[in-house]
Amino acid sequence: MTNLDKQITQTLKKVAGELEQPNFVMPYQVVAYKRKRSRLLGVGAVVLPVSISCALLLTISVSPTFAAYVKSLFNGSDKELQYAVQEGFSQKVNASVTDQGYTLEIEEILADPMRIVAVYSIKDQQKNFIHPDKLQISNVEVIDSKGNIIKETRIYGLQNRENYGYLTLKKPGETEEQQLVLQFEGNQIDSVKGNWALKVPFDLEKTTKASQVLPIDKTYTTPQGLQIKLNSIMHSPTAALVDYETKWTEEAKKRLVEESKQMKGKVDSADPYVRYDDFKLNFHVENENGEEVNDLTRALDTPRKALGEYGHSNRQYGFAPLSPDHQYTLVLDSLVKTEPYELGVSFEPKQLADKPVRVDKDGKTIEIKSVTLDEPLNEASPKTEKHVTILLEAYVKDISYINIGDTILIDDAHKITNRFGWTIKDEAGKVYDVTGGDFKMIGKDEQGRNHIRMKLQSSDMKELPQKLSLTSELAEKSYELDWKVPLPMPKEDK
Amino acid sequence: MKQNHHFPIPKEGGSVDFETLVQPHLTSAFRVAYLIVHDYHLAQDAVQEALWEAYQSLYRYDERKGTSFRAWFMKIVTHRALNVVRRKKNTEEYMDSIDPGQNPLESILQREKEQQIWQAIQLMTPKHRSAVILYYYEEFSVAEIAKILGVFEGTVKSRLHKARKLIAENMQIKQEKQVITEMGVIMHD
Repeated sequence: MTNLDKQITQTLKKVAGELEQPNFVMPYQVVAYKRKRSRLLGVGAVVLPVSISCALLLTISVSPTFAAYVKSLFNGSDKELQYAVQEGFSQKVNASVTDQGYTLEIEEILADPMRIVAVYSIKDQQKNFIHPDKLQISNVEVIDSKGNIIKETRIYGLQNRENYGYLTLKKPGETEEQQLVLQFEGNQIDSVKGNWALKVPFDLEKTTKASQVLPIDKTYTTPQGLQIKLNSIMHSPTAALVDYETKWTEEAKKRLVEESKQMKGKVDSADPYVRYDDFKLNFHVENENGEEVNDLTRALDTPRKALGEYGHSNRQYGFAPLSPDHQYTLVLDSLVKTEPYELGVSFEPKQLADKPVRVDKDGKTIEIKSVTLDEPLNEASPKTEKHVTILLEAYVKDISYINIGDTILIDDAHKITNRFGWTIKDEAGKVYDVTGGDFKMIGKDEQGRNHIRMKLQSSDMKELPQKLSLTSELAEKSYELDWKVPLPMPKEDK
Repeated sequence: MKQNHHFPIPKEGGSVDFETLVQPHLTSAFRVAYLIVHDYHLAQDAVQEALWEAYQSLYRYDERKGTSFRAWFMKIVTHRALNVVRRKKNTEEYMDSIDPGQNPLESILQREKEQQIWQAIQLMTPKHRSAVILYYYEEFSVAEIAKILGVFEGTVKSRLHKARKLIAENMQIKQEKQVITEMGVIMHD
């Protein structure tokens, strides 16, 4: 192995090594997963008795380091952290270690039940700041007073600015301990090897007190038979998180089994896999003026936990902390799932200029706009030749996506084919592989149907057949929902 | 085992056998999926789907054909992950609400070179990326990767060669590029 090979291996191992493995359901497993509730997220967990609103009334001096940091770093992008700092939730640390003439210092820590952020700097002997990316971090761990490593904090992020580095660790939620220790070690600064190890105690007491888990306990069953149970909301200084469960009704399960029979062989899944888990819920949170709150689900990176078979799972929706000056509502906007949905059109490509093709059937409209020879849309297609490209537009209610085709690699045959999308067939019944394409949502038409534009390309079609038929049998359907639930807010301390 | 389940019992091996077979490879399967997909939840979906598929198709797995269970299962996982990438790409084309926020894992790579390598791997096409991950992370041989991806060994070599070139270019090491040109890719097998 060359040096570069070693570096590639090392880089991949480093990235992958930080990942915490999620739960998986064994295919034969019934409800083997018992719900693991963290102290802070469980329904009926003890409500922690301090309010965010109380903290708002106090004038707390804002740490200058963090204030400068939030100003430069979170200018409009992470107001949540800025809010928490302004409310005085950061802890001044000033722990430092010097080796080989370099001093590593952790200046401040902001820690709440959602995340921990530590600010550090490196200085040389003349007290000049060294860019924080010159530090090679060899270990980051958060431990409790007994020395147990808090598992959730194994994933961390770094943002480096001119003088300060910002280390973010996620979800210290599953510990009872309020007093924790951040272990932060580096073994190289620039090209100088050394040992810079810091153990920095910090506590979650203040932010935990300013955090509350409040039960919501509201259940709604969508017309499609997905039962959604909102368990609780957690308010913390840097974020809010709604914890919920999803489950299909018995009737819906039967329907999904029936759907899976219709979808057999048409989707990229093993027969007769029933896609209980193949749906997405879209939420938003708004205040009484209809102003939406920032979505933080991705930033908080909360893994879905399977509670059993049939799509029974525990999920979270994360968003910015809520202001006590407003009232907020969680709105469930839509349920998106793939279903059998037939679309089809036949036409004569060479006659297209004279005979425009438009098919209206069952409230669906398809138009063939053009058949041209174009550059390949798929980078795997041969680039030396032009490819027959069919441009079509569809007007379809509630359809948010139609698959163009998935690439399948055939066993031992060294052959790549495309399936599970559109089928292109000529007058003799010859099927052409869809080798490329794209999909665009244009908007809505006057009937409220989604206007979709698609390109289907086949490098197999060397000349235009007399007649072509296009068919598609599945689509991703977005069901609009409008379930609104007022979100409980923390109460002020008496 | 549940009496009334929707999944056929594999012809060979019951559920216990399946779990025994698959469990040792779950961590690495998830990591491979993540490295290909770059999204925790989608990688989770890919591996969960792969588990269903592997369970359904277990009767097709025949050790006597000379393929290890690890390679067989990783093939399913890789294909699932690649399909997730395609679905994700298609979705992102028309959704402008995708949060392009920096992946925290990117930031753990302290050394400039590591960051450049990871960035280059992320920017590669999925087919090059999957070859790199299977080769450098999972340490499969070129022959095994060819079987997993369903391509010729030469194709794997060429993908690895191109991937290394992309990485080197991203690292802006002109000398390194010359070495690659001269030496080609040194293979495991």
